[in-house]
Amino acid sequence: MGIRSDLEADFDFDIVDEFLDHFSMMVESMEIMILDLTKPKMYRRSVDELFRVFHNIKSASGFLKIISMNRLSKLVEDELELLRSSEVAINEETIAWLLNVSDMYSEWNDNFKNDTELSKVKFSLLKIPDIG
Amino acid sequence: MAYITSGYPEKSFTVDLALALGESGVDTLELGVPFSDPVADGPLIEKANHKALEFGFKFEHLREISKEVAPKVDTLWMGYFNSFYQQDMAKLIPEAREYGVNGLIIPDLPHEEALLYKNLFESNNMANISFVAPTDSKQRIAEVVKEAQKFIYMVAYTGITGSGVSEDLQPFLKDIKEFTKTPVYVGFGVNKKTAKAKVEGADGVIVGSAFIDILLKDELNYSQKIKECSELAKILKSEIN
Repeated sequence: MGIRSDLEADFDFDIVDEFLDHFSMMVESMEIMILDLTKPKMYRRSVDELFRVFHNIKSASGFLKIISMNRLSKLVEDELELLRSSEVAINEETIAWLLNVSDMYSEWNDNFKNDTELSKVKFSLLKIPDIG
Repeated sequence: MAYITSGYPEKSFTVDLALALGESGVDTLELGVPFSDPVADGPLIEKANHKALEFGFKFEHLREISKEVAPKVDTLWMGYFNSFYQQDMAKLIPEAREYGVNGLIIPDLPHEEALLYKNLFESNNMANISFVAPTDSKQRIAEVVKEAQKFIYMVAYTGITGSGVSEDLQPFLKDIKEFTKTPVYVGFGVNKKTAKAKVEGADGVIVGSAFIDILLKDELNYSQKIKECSELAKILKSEIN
Protein backbone atom coordinates (compact mmCIF):
# COMPACT_ATOMS: atom_id res chain seq x y z
CA MET A 1 0.00 0.00 0.00
CA GLY A 2 1.45 3.28 -1.08
CA ILE A 3 0.43 6.82 -1.86
CA ARG A 4 -1.83 5.93 -4.80
CA SER A 5 -3.76 3.40 -2.73
CA ASP A 6 -4.08 5.95 0.07
CA LEU A 7 -5.53 8.51 -2.33
CA GLU A 8 -7.90 6.01 -3.89
CA ALA A 9 -9.14 5.07 -0.43
CA ASP A 10 -9.96 8.67 0.42
CA PHE A 11 -11.11 10.16 -2.91
CA ASP A 12 -13.14 9.26 -5.94
CA PHE A 13 -11.15 7.05 -8.32
CA ASP A 14 -11.75 9.36 -11.32
CA ILE A 15 -10.44 12.38 -9.45
CA VAL A 16 -7.27 10.55 -8.43
CA ASP A 17 -6.78 9.17 -11.92
CA GLU A 18 -7.13 12.61 -13.50
CA PHE A 19 -4.72 14.12 -11.01
CA LEU A 20 -2.12 11.43 -11.64
CA ASP A 21 -2.38 11.86 -15.42
CA HIS A 22 -1.97 15.63 -15.20
CA PHE A 23 0.73 15.39 -12.57
CA SER A 24 2.76 13.05 -14.73
CA MET A 25 2.48 15.36 -17.74
CA MET A 26 3.46 18.42 -15.72
CA VAL A 27 6.45 16.67 -14.15
CA GLU A 28 7.67 15.42 -17.52
CA SER A 29 7.66 18.95 -18.92
CA MET A 30 9.27 20.64 -15.90
CA GLU A 31 12.91 20.05 -16.68
CA ILE A 32 12.67 21.37 -20.24
CA MET A 33 10.90 24.51 -19.02
CA ILE A 34 13.56 25.06 -16.36
CA LEU A 35 16.35 24.70 -18.90
CA ASP A 36 14.49 27.13 -21.16
CA LEU A 37 14.85 29.73 -18.41
CA THR A 38 18.47 30.08 -19.51
CA LYS A 39 17.38 31.14 -23.02
CA PRO A 40 16.52 34.84 -23.09
CA LYS A 41 13.86 34.43 -25.80
CA MET A 42 12.15 31.64 -23.90
CA TYR A 43 12.50 33.08 -20.41
CA ARG A 44 9.25 34.98 -19.99
CA ARG A 45 7.08 32.21 -21.39
CA SER A 46 8.86 29.51 -19.38
CA VAL A 47 8.68 31.34 -16.07
CA ASP A 48 4.94 31.92 -16.58
CA GLU A 49 4.39 28.29 -17.59
CA LEU A 50 6.35 27.01 -14.59
CA PHE A 51 4.39 29.28 -12.29
CA ARG A 52 1.15 27.82 -13.65
CA VAL A 53 2.45 24.27 -13.24
CA PHE A 54 3.36 24.76 -9.59
CA HIS A 55 0.18 26.71 -8.94
CA ASN A 56 -1.86 23.80 -10.35
CA ILE A 57 0.07 21.20 -8.37
CA LYS A 58 -0.31 23.30 -5.23
CA SER A 59 -4.06 23.50 -5.66
CA ALA A 60 -4.54 19.84 -6.54
CA SER A 61 -2.24 18.54 -3.80
CA GLY A 62 -4.02 20.79 -1.31
CA PHE A 63 -7.38 19.33 -2.31
CA LEU A 64 -5.99 15.79 -2.08
CA LYS A 65 -4.30 16.62 1.25
CA ILE A 66 -0.82 15.70 0.08
CA ILE A 67 0.67 18.12 2.59
CA SER A 68 4.40 17.97 1.84
CA MET A 69 3.79 18.39 -1.90
CA ASN A 70 1.37 21.23 -1.26
CA ARG A 71 3.87 23.09 0.95
CA LEU A 72 6.81 22.64 -1.38
CA SER A 73 4.67 23.71 -4.35
CA LYS A 74 3.67 26.87 -2.46
CA LEU A 75 7.33 27.59 -1.80
CA VAL A 76 8.27 27.13 -5.46
CA GLU A 77 5.27 29.12 -6.63
CA ASP A 78 6.35 32.03 -4.40
CA GLU A 79 9.90 31.89 -5.75
CA LEU A 80 8.60 31.86 -9.33
CA GLU A 81 6.33 34.80 -8.54
CA LEU A 82 9.42 36.70 -7.40
CA LEU A 83 11.19 35.77 -10.63
CA ARG A 84 8.21 36.94 -12.68
CA SER A 85 8.29 40.36 -11.06
CA SER A 86 12.07 40.71 -11.11
CA GLU A 87 14.04 42.46 -13.80
CA VAL A 88 17.21 40.62 -12.82
CA ALA A 89 18.31 37.69 -14.99
CA ILE A 90 17.94 34.30 -13.36
CA ASN A 91 21.16 32.99 -11.78
CA GLU A 92 22.74 29.54 -11.93
CA GLU A 93 21.97 28.84 -8.30
CA THR A 94 18.25 29.30 -8.89
CA ILE A 95 18.34 27.10 -12.00
CA ALA A 96 20.16 24.39 -10.01
CA TRP A 97 17.61 24.65 -7.19
CA LEU A 98 14.70 24.39 -9.64
CA LEU A 99 16.27 21.33 -11.26
CA ASN A 100 16.59 19.73 -7.82
CA VAL A 101 12.95 20.62 -7.19
CA SER A 102 12.07 18.96 -10.50
CA ASP A 103 13.92 15.80 -9.38
CA MET A 104 11.82 15.74 -6.22
CA TYR A 105 8.60 15.86 -8.24
CA SER A 106 9.92 13.12 -10.57
CA GLU A 107 10.57 10.99 -7.50
CA TRP A 108 7.00 11.64 -6.36
CA ASN A 109 5.76 10.71 -9.82
CA ASP A 110 7.57 7.38 -9.44
CA ASN A 111 5.99 6.98 -6.00
CA PHE A 112 2.56 7.34 -7.60
CA LYS A 113 3.38 4.99 -10.49
CA ASN A 114 4.84 2.30 -8.23
CA ASP A 115 2.35 2.92 -5.42
CA THR A 116 5.11 3.36 -2.85
CA GLU A 117 5.31 5.70 0.13
CA LEU A 118 5.66 9.36 -0.79
CA SER A 119 9.35 10.34 -0.45
CA LYS A 120 10.20 12.99 2.09
CA VAL A 121 11.08 16.49 0.89
CA LYS A 122 14.85 16.81 0.67
CA PHE A 123 16.03 19.33 3.24
CA SER A 124 18.30 21.03 0.74
CA LEU A 125 15.20 22.21 -1.15
CA LEU A 126 14.24 24.34 1.84
CA LYS A 127 17.34 26.46 1.24
CA ILE A 128 15.85 28.91 -1.17
CA PRO A 129 18.37 30.64 -3.43
CA ASP A 130 18.63 34.38 -3.61
CA ILE A 131 17.23 35.26 -7.01
CA GLY A 132 19.40 38.38 -7.33
CA MET B 1 24.97 23.89 19.31
CA ALA B 2 27.75 24.05 16.73
CA TYR B 3 28.54 21.98 13.66
CA ILE B 4 32.11 21.59 12.45
CA THR B 5 33.48 19.39 9.68
CA SER B 6 35.81 16.80 11.15
CA GLY B 7 39.28 16.72 9.67
CA TYR B 8 39.03 20.09 7.98
CA PRO B 9 41.66 21.23 7.50
CA GLU B 10 43.19 18.52 9.71
CA LYS B 11 42.50 16.26 12.64
CA SER B 12 44.48 18.09 15.35
CA PHE B 13 42.90 21.41 14.33
CA THR B 14 39.42 19.92 14.75
CA VAL B 15 40.31 18.84 18.29
CA ASP B 16 41.64 22.30 19.20
CA LEU B 17 38.63 24.03 17.64
CA ALA B 18 36.12 21.71 19.30
CA LEU B 19 37.60 22.24 22.74
CA ALA B 20 37.78 26.00 22.20
CA LEU B 21 34.12 26.07 21.18
CA GLY B 22 33.21 24.12 24.31
CA GLU B 23 35.03 26.71 26.41
CA SER B 24 33.23 29.50 24.52
CA GLY B 25 29.76 28.38 25.52
CA VAL B 26 28.81 25.81 22.89
CA ASP B 27 26.63 23.32 24.74
CA THR B 28 26.70 20.56 22.17
CA LEU B 29 29.02 19.86 19.31
CA GLU B 30 28.11 18.20 16.01
CA LEU B 31 31.19 16.53 14.60
CA GLY B 32 30.44 16.29 10.89
CA VAL B 33 31.63 13.25 8.97
CA PRO B 34 32.89 14.47 5.57
CA PHE B 35 30.89 13.00 2.71
CA SER B 36 31.16 13.38 -1.05
CA ASP B 37 27.49 14.22 -1.61
CA PRO B 38 26.15 16.00 1.49
CA VAL B 39 22.66 16.57 0.06
CA ALA B 40 21.16 18.22 3.12
CA ASP B 41 23.94 20.78 3.45
CA GLY B 42 24.56 24.09 1.77
CA PRO B 43 27.48 25.03 -0.47
CA LEU B 44 29.86 26.10 2.35
CA ILE B 45 29.57 22.86 4.28
CA GLU B 46 29.74 20.90 1.04
CA LYS B 47 33.00 22.68 0.20
CA ALA B 48 34.48 21.91 3.63
CA ASN B 49 33.38 18.27 3.24
CA HIS B 50 35.10 17.98 -0.12
CA LYS B 51 38.26 19.66 1.14
CA ALA B 52 38.43 17.37 4.19
CA LEU B 53 38.15 14.35 1.89
CA GLU B 54 40.82 15.81 -0.41
CA PHE B 55 43.07 16.27 2.61
CA GLY B 56 42.72 12.57 3.39
CA PHE B 57 39.98 12.34 6.01
CA LYS B 58 39.40 8.78 7.20
CA PHE B 59 36.68 7.56 9.56
CA GLU B 60 39.49 6.59 11.91
CA HIS B 61 40.22 10.31 12.31
CA LEU B 62 36.70 10.85 13.65
CA ARG B 63 37.34 8.17 16.25
CA GLU B 64 40.59 9.84 17.32
CA ILE B 65 39.01 13.30 17.46
CA SER B 66 36.06 11.98 19.45
CA LYS B 67 38.27 10.26 22.02
CA GLU B 68 39.74 13.65 22.89
CA VAL B 69 36.67 15.84 22.52
CA ALA B 70 33.65 13.81 23.66
CA PRO B 71 34.73 13.40 27.31
CA LYS B 72 34.91 17.21 27.60
CA VAL B 73 32.09 18.53 25.37
CA ASP B 74 28.66 16.97 24.74
CA THR B 75 29.30 15.46 21.31
CA LEU B 76 27.16 14.04 18.52
CA TRP B 77 28.25 12.65 15.19
CA MET B 78 26.52 14.14 12.17
CA GLY B 79 26.82 12.30 8.89
CA TYR B 80 25.12 10.60 6.00
CA PHE B 81 23.90 7.10 6.56
CA ASN B 82 26.27 5.40 4.16
CA SER B 83 29.28 6.62 6.19
CA PHE B 84 27.95 4.94 9.33
CA TYR B 85 26.47 1.89 7.62
CA GLN B 86 29.84 1.03 6.10
CA GLN B 87 31.32 0.89 9.59
CA ASP B 88 28.64 -1.61 10.72
CA MET B 89 26.09 0.08 12.94
CA ALA B 90 26.04 -2.81 15.43
CA LYS B 91 29.73 -2.25 16.18
CA LEU B 92 29.84 1.50 15.66
CA ILE B 93 27.13 2.57 18.10
CA PRO B 94 28.66 0.92 21.21
CA GLU B 95 32.09 2.07 20.07
CA ALA B 96 30.93 5.68 19.78
CA ARG B 97 29.38 5.41 23.22
CA GLU B 98 32.72 4.24 24.62
CA TYR B 99 34.34 7.46 23.35
CA GLY B 100 31.61 9.44 25.10
CA VAL B 101 29.61 10.34 21.99
CA ASN B 102 25.98 10.86 22.95
CA GLY B 103 24.18 10.38 19.68
CA LEU B 104 24.02 10.47 15.90
CA ILE B 105 22.42 12.95 13.52
CA ILE B 106 21.69 11.32 10.17
CA PRO B 107 19.70 13.65 7.89
CA ASP B 108 19.23 11.12 5.09
CA LEU B 109 17.95 8.30 7.29
CA PRO B 110 14.15 8.37 7.09
CA HIS B 111 12.26 8.01 10.33
CA GLU B 112 10.81 4.64 9.33
CA GLU B 113 14.27 3.20 8.60
CA ALA B 114 15.72 4.74 11.75
CA LEU B 115 13.22 2.68 13.75
CA LEU B 116 15.13 -0.44 12.67
CA TYR B 117 18.02 0.77 14.84
CA LYS B 118 15.89 1.96 17.76
CA ASN B 119 16.88 -0.89 20.07
CA LEU B 120 20.54 -0.54 19.17
CA PHE B 121 20.53 3.15 20.06
CA GLU B 122 18.50 2.68 23.22
CA SER B 123 20.52 -0.23 24.55
CA ASN B 124 23.67 1.89 24.21
CA ASN B 125 22.09 4.99 25.71
CA MET B 126 22.66 6.85 22.45
CA ALA B 127 20.26 9.29 20.82
CA ASN B 128 19.27 9.13 17.18
CA ILE B 129 18.15 12.67 16.49
CA SER B 130 14.75 13.13 14.82
CA PHE B 131 14.19 15.69 12.08
CA VAL B 132 11.06 17.65 11.26
CA ALA B 133 10.61 20.11 8.40
CA PRO B 134 7.99 22.79 7.68
CA THR B 135 6.80 20.67 4.76
CA ASP B 136 5.78 17.88 7.16
CA SER B 137 2.11 17.40 7.99
CA LYS B 138 0.93 17.47 11.59
CA GLN B 139 0.31 13.75 11.36
CA ARG B 140 3.89 13.21 10.23
CA ILE B 141 5.26 15.46 12.98
CA ALA B 142 3.28 13.52 15.61
CA GLU B 143 4.69 10.25 14.32
CA VAL B 144 8.31 11.44 14.20
CA VAL B 145 8.49 13.24 17.54
CA LYS B 146 6.91 10.32 19.37
CA GLU B 147 10.29 8.57 19.26
CA ALA B 148 12.45 11.67 19.68
CA GLN B 149 15.46 11.55 21.97
CA LYS B 150 17.68 14.33 23.36
CA PHE B 151 16.26 17.03 21.05
CA ILE B 152 14.34 17.48 17.80
CA TYR B 153 16.18 18.97 14.86
CA MET B 154 13.80 21.44 13.30
CA VAL B 155 14.77 22.33 9.76
CA ALA B 156 13.89 25.92 8.95
CA TYR B 157 13.37 27.57 5.59
CA THR B 158 16.28 29.75 4.60
CA GLY B 159 16.77 32.56 2.16
CA ILE B 160 13.13 33.34 1.63
CA THR B 161 13.18 36.97 2.64
CA GLY B 162 10.93 38.86 0.30
CA SER B 163 9.00 35.84 -0.92
CA GLY B 164 5.41 35.14 0.00
CA VAL B 165 6.32 32.30 2.37
CA SER B 166 6.32 33.31 6.00
CA GLU B 167 9.59 32.96 7.84
CA ASP B 168 7.58 32.88 11.03
CA LEU B 169 8.39 29.52 12.57
CA GLN B 170 5.92 29.90 15.41
CA PRO B 171 3.00 27.92 13.91
CA PHE B 172 5.39 25.10 13.02
CA LEU B 173 6.95 25.14 16.50
CA LYS B 174 3.49 25.09 18.04
CA ASP B 175 2.61 22.01 16.00
CA ILE B 176 5.73 20.22 17.21
CA LYS B 177 5.30 21.18 20.85
CA GLU B 178 1.71 19.97 20.77
CA PHE B 179 3.06 16.43 20.55
CA THR B 180 6.26 16.43 22.60
CA LYS B 181 8.12 17.89 25.52
CA THR B 182 11.48 17.04 23.93
CA PRO B 183 13.49 20.23 23.32
CA VAL B 184 13.35 21.64 19.79
CA TYR B 185 16.49 23.07 18.18
CA VAL B 186 16.27 25.14 15.03
CA GLY B 187 18.82 24.51 12.31
CA PHE B 188 19.51 25.92 8.82
CA GLY B 189 20.27 29.55 8.20
CA VAL B 190 21.20 30.47 11.77
CA ASN B 191 23.87 33.13 12.09
CA LYS B 192 24.65 36.27 14.11
CA LYS B 193 21.83 38.18 12.42
CA THR B 194 19.14 35.50 12.57
CA ALA B 195 19.88 33.65 15.83
CA LYS B 196 17.66 35.77 18.05
CA ALA B 197 14.64 35.51 15.75
CA LYS B 198 15.10 31.82 14.99
CA VAL B 199 15.39 30.78 18.62
CA GLU B 200 12.12 32.43 19.59
CA GLY B 201 9.85 29.70 20.92
CA ALA B 202 12.53 27.06 20.39
CA ASP B 203 14.95 25.59 22.92
CA GLY B 204 18.15 26.12 21.00
CA VAL B 205 19.78 26.77 17.66
CA ILE B 206 22.18 24.77 15.53
CA VAL B 207 24.86 26.78 13.77
CA GLY B 208 26.96 25.27 11.00
CA SER B 209 27.68 27.39 7.95
CA ALA B 210 28.57 30.48 9.99
CA PHE B 211 31.48 28.56 11.58
CA ILE B 212 32.48 26.85 8.35
CA ASP B 213 32.54 30.24 6.61
CA ILE B 214 35.34 31.24 9.02
CA LEU B 215 37.19 27.96 8.57
CA LEU B 216 37.21 28.39 4.79
CA LYS B 217 38.95 31.76 4.98
CA ASP B 218 42.39 31.06 3.53
CA GLU B 219 43.77 34.39 4.78
CA LEU B 220 43.40 33.30 8.43
CA ASN B 221 45.90 31.05 10.17
CA TYR B 222 44.76 28.26 12.51
CA SER B 223 44.82 30.28 15.71
CA GLN B 224 42.94 33.18 14.05
CA LYS B 225 40.26 30.77 12.84
CA ILE B 226 39.85 29.32 16.32
CA LYS B 227 39.71 32.81 17.81
CA GLU B 228 37.04 34.00 15.33
CA CYS B 229 34.94 30.86 15.82
CA SER B 230 35.15 31.23 19.60
CA GLU B 231 34.09 34.86 19.37
CA LEU B 232 31.17 33.92 17.13
CA ALA B 233 30.10 31.23 19.62
CA LYS B 234 30.10 33.80 22.43
CA ILE B 235 28.10 36.32 20.38
CA LEU B 236 25.53 33.68 19.41
CA LYS B 237 25.22 32.55 23.01
CA SER B 238 24.54 36.10 24.17
CA GLU B 239 22.05 36.63 21.29
CA ILE B 240 19.94 33.62 22.14
CA ASN B 241 20.00 33.99 25.93
